[in-house]
Amino acid sequence: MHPAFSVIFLTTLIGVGQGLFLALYSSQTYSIVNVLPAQPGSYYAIGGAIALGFLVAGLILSFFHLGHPERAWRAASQWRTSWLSREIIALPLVMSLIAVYILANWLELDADLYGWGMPGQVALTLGSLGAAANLLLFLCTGMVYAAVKFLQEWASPLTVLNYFLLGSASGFTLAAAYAAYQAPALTEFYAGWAIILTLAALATRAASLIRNARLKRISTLQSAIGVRHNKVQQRAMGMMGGSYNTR
Amino acid sequence: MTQLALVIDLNVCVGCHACVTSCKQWNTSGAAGPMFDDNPYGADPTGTFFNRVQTYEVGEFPCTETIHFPKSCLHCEDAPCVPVCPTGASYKRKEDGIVLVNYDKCIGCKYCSWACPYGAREFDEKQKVMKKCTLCVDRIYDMSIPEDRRKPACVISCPTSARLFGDVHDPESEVSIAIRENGGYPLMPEWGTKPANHYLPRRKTKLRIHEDELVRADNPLKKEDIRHEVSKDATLDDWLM
Ligand code: SF4
Ligand code: SF4
Repeated sequence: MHPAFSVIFLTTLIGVGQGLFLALYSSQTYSIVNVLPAQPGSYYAIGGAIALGFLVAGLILSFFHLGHPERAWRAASQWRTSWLSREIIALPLVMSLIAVYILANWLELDADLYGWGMPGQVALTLGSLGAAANLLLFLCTGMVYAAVKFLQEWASPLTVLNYFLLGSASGFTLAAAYAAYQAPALTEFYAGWAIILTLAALATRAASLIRNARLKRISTLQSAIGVRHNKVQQRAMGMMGGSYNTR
Repeated sequence: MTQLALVIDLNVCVGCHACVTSCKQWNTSGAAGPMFDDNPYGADPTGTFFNRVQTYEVGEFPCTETIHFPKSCLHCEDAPCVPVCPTGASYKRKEDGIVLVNYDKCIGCKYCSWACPYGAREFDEKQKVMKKCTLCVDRIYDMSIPEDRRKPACVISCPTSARLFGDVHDPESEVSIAIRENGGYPLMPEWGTKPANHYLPRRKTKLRIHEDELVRADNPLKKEDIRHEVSKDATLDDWLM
């Protein structure tokens, strides 16, 4: 299988955006309990806007692999059965939650929602919702591939884990760069996690490569044509050679 | 419930591609058409075909056998291409089990072609939608065609009658009997897709003759044992004695 380039751009770019948002959210949560120094609302708002930019860019690029992008809205209809449909719902959900998060941080909205008497409760609530939606989006993106059971290389929980870890690693890396520029006190936190996530991603990606190298094929040429003989060779692909999916 | 399907006899197919060309002709001129051709007269032609005859070589030379293997969408009873489609363009008809694509809904994301383990889905590069065998749905119900010709184009055109068409859920249908009596099998049953199309295996036609069949055991005159001396210059008359 050769996924279209636009799909590769989509998953890479939204991974960065999602990871960056998770980085901002975690540092903001830490700052509420005074583990990390708090930053002004505009810091989170601008960071959130960068994350949103990546998601929007990914979404726009993903349209290029569609034969009929003008009908793309229909793709939200089969969420009951299709992980692709679920991903297409999760993506705008994440984008709108990040947009609300940006707005709340930019305007420094706050209220004592839970009676804790601490600042930052609105941002924390919106951030938590956004983070949950982000994890959901990682799950959907991974399951689009992991749910195709015939492609044994993909049909594994490692696929989902890889999307999550690689996306988060790239997002935390970007967060480290952003913090180095805007909030140096947070750089170490982001960079530390970026290293941990990258190493974890290296491990899980290596695990899936090893798994793929040792895969035992469920189907064989014999079961594909139902002829029981040790030696079967395909000599011709049929009329006019291959179709688009064998090229 | 009805499940229409094809049954293809590999023992009879000679790999002439008549089904391929008639399929293309019917469908390119019908509801599924036009079917894209890329570089048809060039060195490396390709295009959209609902039915392809692949060729396999089984065994090691010189003890080889060539198997012509016609393949199109198998109209799986548990079609994996249907639930993955995000738009609902791919669907399986309740009334006759035919798996179809609604070309007005398909966005051409190609996800279904990843989900079909048989490689039966054919993307039309011109119309940018997914297509595949429709079991000639625009032909088999056409009341303006004489009843005995309301069959898929490939079935009608096959010069060796290697292709049968019918309801595999009806135990008395021609296809069910053929599957039952000739060891019909589905492709890649290990995935649980339950393909509706079946294949009839290659069979060796061997004549087994027993001694009793040459010499009649209950022949009182033992006529068969009587041999006549034949001289070197025997004529035809000698043989007829
Ligand atoms: S053969 Fe492929 S396209 Fe046809 S019903 Fe089965 S999975 Fe779908
Ligand atoms: S290519 Fe068309 S039929 Fe196939 S999954 Fe996408 S929208 Fe559905």
